[in-house]
Amino acid sequence: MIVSTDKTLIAMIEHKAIFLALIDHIDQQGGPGEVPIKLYHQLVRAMLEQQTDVEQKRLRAIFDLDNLRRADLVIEVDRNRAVFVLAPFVVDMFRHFDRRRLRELSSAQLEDLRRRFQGSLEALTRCTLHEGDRQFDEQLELLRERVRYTQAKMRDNVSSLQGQAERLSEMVEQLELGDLEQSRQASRALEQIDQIYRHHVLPSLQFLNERESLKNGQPALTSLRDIATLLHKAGLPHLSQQLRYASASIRAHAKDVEKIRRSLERYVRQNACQRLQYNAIEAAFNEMLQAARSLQDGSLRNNQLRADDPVFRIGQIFSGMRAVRYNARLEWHGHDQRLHFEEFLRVRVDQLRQQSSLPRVVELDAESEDFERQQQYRKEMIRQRVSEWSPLGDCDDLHKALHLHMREALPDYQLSDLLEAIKWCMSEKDFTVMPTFRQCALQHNGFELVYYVRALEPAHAS
Amino acid sequence: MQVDQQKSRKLYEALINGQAVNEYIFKDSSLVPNPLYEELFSNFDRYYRDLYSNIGFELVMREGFAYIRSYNPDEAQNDAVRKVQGLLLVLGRGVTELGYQFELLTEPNAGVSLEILEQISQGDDKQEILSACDLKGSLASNIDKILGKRGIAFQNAKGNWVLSNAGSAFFSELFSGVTDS
Repeated sequence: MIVSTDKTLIAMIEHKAIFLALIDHIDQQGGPGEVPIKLYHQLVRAMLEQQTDVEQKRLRAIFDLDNLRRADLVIEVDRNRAVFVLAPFVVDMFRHFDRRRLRELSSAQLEDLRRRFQGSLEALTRCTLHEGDRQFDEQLELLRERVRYTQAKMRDNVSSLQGQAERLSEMVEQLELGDLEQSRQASRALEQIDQIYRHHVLPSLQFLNERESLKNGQPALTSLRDIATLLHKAGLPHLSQQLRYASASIRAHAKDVEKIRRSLERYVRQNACQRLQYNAIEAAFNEMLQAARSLQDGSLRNNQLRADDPVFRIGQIFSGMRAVRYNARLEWHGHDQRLHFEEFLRVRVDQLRQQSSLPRVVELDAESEDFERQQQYRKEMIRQRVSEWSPLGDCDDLHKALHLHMREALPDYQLSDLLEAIKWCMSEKDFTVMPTFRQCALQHNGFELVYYVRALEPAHAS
Repeated sequence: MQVDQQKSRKLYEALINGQAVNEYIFKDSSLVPNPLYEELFSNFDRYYRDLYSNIGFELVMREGFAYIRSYNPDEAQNDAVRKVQGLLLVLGRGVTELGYQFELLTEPNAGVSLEILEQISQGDDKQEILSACDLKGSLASNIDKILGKRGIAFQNAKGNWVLSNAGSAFFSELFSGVTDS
């Protein structure tokens, strides 16, 4: 069934998703614009499945490749290679539906535009500049076409660059770092941005810069300015003015492209930084791996890198870092008086021990004769008090009985005197004592004497 | 600024145990300034440098982190450097090689998950490096034991490992070396 071109085009626009997908494929391949028939059929089949039976029949006829070929919407169908090529105006039309799919001007295309303007300048320089002159009119018309074409292309170029910049920067900005697929997409997006920056943005800025010095020829806008000057000198100010306006309109895109350049610059730097990071880590890792492998001799011994190996130079940022010797937390208490006292004792006792271990000179004068005499005198007094004493009745606790006596008889009596008294008592009196296997304590003047109780034999008690 | 006794004690506890004191710490899903680092930084010249010097250590202030080391030059290249560098390189290489951005390691809310660590440790070359650096056991346990305990990496709220200032400084050093050369 033959379907007219207009109806076919309308149907194509109504189902533009198919053709936008094909354009994406063309852009990804970057080749001569060939589309695999299989891909086209897949997309058409998916679209048809959502239609009613009647509509399916109509659309199947419209989207038949032979029909598209007859309507000149497809310029080539190669069934041997199973590819077809869409007519350029169809591709351009669909690109206009989505500015993100517009094509940027390549360096070669920009150079072609520049040469065209230079060609116009050279041609106009050669011919007679007079309205009505056929050659002049033809050249002028050609120049106007070139200006219009350049304006349109530059507009598309800016839209495309803006679209691409937005799409790719969104991809980078919305990246979820933990998502591997998104990370890979972001890396690819950064690479694409880098490509666009170098191969489209910078050449566009060069093209739009009148003062750009070129090896061959001069910038397009300079050629246009020269033509305008030429026409002005030839007495054609209105034509000169037209060209100046046209030149200004083309030049105006420089501002937009510069804005795009600035917005992309960050991503270009990010891409360069990422590449640097990747390369630096890879180089350091490989160096260490190489060093590790050089130790491997199959013996499974001595295959560890030495800590002073040159590969560890980067790690010197941590050089000398202490080993984690213990994990126990150090306890820092608040102000605890008990701990303060214990700490004081610990230090003080140590000091005293040290002092006591030091050899010291004992001054004999310290214990004077008077002191000795007093000691002797006191011992004598104790002996006398003991000799005066005789236990009353049964004495079942010698210490206590003697203590009670000495406390009354001896002035300034101390418990230490009791020990001296017991010694005299045992040596001078003929007592027989018996152990009772019990312990008692005597308290006097803040001191306490703990002793094993001894009783006197009743026979000797008198 | 007056020396804070409590902070000084905490600093000592961290430094003497071989930990790095970082400028920022992870708290409530974000990085916040570390009060211990601020204390150290504020009183470094006036107090802390001499304090540690008097007990035989050099207090090393790097960009974004600090640690102590012995004055003994023989201890400069010790086992700690070997293990830390080995682990960091395996981690960095593994992450970038898999296709993740390097920022996965440094972004506090991203971090390297245990699944990614598992994938990284499956590489034979990674195992060779770990073995050559005397790192026994799994990659995850070594990261915990060595990078985590030393304050070179920390675990965020998701349990993923993120490099601290000290860990990031290692890579900054590595990247600057490439830029300079």
